[in-house]
Amino acid sequence: MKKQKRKEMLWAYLFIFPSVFLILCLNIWPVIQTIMFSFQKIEGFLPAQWNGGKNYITLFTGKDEFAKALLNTAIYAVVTVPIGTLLSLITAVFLNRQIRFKSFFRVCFFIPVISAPAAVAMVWRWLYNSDFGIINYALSLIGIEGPNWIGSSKYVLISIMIVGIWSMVGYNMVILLAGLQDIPSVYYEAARIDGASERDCFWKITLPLVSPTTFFVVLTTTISALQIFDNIYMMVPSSSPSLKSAQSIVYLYYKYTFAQQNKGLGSAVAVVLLVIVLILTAIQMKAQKKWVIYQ
Amino acid sequence: MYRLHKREMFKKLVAMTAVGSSVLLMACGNGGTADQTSATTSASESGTTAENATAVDGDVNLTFMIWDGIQQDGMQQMVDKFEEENPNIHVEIQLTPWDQYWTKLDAAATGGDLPDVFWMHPEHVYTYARGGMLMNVSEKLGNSSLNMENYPANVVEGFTVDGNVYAVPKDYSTFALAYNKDIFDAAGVAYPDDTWDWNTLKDAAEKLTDKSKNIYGLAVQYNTNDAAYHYIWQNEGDIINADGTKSMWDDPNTIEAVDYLVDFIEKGYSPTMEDFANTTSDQYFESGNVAMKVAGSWMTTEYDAVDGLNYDVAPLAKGKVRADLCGGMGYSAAANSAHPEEAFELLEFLGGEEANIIQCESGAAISAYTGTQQSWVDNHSNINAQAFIDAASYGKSSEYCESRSKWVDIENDYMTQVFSLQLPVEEGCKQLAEEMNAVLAE
Repeated sequence: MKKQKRKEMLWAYLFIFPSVFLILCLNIWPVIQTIMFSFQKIEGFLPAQWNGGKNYITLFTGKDEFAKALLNTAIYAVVTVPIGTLLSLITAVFLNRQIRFKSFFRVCFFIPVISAPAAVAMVWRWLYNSDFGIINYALSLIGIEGPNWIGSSKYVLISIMIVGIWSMVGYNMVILLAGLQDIPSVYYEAARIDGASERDCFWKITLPLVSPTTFFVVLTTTISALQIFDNIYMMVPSSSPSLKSAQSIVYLYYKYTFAQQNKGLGSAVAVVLLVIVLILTAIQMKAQKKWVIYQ
Repeated sequence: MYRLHKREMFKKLVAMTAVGSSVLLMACGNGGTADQTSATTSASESGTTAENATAVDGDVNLTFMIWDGIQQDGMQQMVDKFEEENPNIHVEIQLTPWDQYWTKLDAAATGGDLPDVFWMHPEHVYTYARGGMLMNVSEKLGNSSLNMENYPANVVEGFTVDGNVYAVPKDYSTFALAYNKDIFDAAGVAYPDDTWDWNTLKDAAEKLTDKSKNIYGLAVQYNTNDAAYHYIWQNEGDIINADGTKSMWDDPNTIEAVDYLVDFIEKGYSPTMEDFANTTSDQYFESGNVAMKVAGSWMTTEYDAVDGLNYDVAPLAKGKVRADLCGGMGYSAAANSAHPEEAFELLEFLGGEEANIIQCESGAAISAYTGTQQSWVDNHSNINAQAFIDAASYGKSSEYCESRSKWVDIENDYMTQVFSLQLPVEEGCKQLAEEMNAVLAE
């Protein structure tokens, strides 16, 4: 019996070997390398030199750039995650009902997900354009002078958050839809026999039972919100005075590593982000015990 | 039992996703960009040449990376000619737009996978040459047909690192004042000519600005192409002193030039930096919303293609002296190329008179090879193209020095604030000089 089990284990390891090997080479090794780089001075193509924690000291005591980027990223996450999750949940609940053109609406909400992010950003850039954009044109029709969505330091983060929420709703909606369809219909039938209203059903059955999926959605959107980069990179030109109010942690990482050729400093930024993500995820894993209900 | 099982599975899934995605980000940073295929297109013939190459023994394939799509046709014509003369060498042109070019080249260099031959810019030559990534052209000059005396001295100098040349000059670019004739006619202002000085320029900008029609006089955007350097030199100021040890941003002449420029924005003769975040100065000019702009010689091809844009060019307005930004580009070869002989042969060809004439005739760039520029002028008979050629005689590129990569970001930071009127000119320039000097002292 024991021998049989060992044989089974051997086969199991053999089967997972290719993916484990690839993950080690492509994911784990770069992580270790990044952590090593973050303690080195690497400029241009010159050989790396160990410089202790100097990169981290530069980050935390240098100009306010890093602090501002942390703040921008925090604001972005705090605003987009709840709003995005809520909107996804509302759309999912409505599209889970028997309504006309259900599939059509589902496709509509999902289109942002399958569009190339660069193309999405370019289209939004034109919509936002202060002189020729359709948004400010529409506002002018009702007598409002639209702001400079991209160029103004006040509005740039809001503009990016709108695009972020718009492009995340579709994906989360599909996941939540799957969660909703996982709820056995017997609960609703039983509740209805007991005289529960539509509203009771939502608050007492749907919401609690979809909470594991909601938790998953919240967690993944938080992580991707902390990693926001592409929309900022594509929508805000590097010469724009508003860039400071928009640049995120990952944008700084890109800027240090590739624009300034300072890979050591860039790696330090990436490591700080990793630590933040790990801590936030750990907190969320603990907190979920309070509000997530498993069937 | 079932309950627990499902819950555990779920927690694991969540934890894996969390760690997995943050790990992925880091992985991207290290090697991910190497296979970024973003906008790499190969020339139309490349497919067939590659096939031929595998069929015949002893044939060599070279890759040749460029960043300007407008010039791709011209480059292809030069490569075709080269392949005709060297039937055993096949060259594949790879186009990567400027915005991704240096990211990609950096990743390729780190991975030991540089293209055999590629365009080089003076801004980046120090990093690559010091890192041992570039073939030393000086070493090979001896028994080749290349002679650095055939190119403008400041272009060759731009590619000289520690006394050695690391790129064969390709072209040079200068700037001229491009103006929209229709706007001038409508406002009844005389076209710019070589008598214009800073006062005439500002007066004209004032007369041409028409807020009701959304027309601005002159586009003043802080960046390397539109504003600052040309004007600073015209005012006998500078960016950095001759031996590269001290910032010149706090020089009274430099400050005065910046002040002159910022005034255009303050008075509303130019769109603001916030406006430029939405619409580039070229887009303003091409859509007829800006009457004048400082235009690089490479932009003429793009302007020509805009329907209804009735434009011409004149020399830049004169300040205390005449000055212009005159930068060059070059061809570099990879130090670790698998075919160094053939790669150098390609450099030799590209730097030769024949290739330079083809380049000029294609109209995209002013060839660096002295005496081949006339065909570029002939090719732009619709405008006063000679203004660009003449500008080379007073063109400068003194900002390219070894330390540039260390302070250029500080400069961007302060000047963006100054030009967006967040920081007074004098204060901004002095703070910038102070920070730049601190970097130079390191």
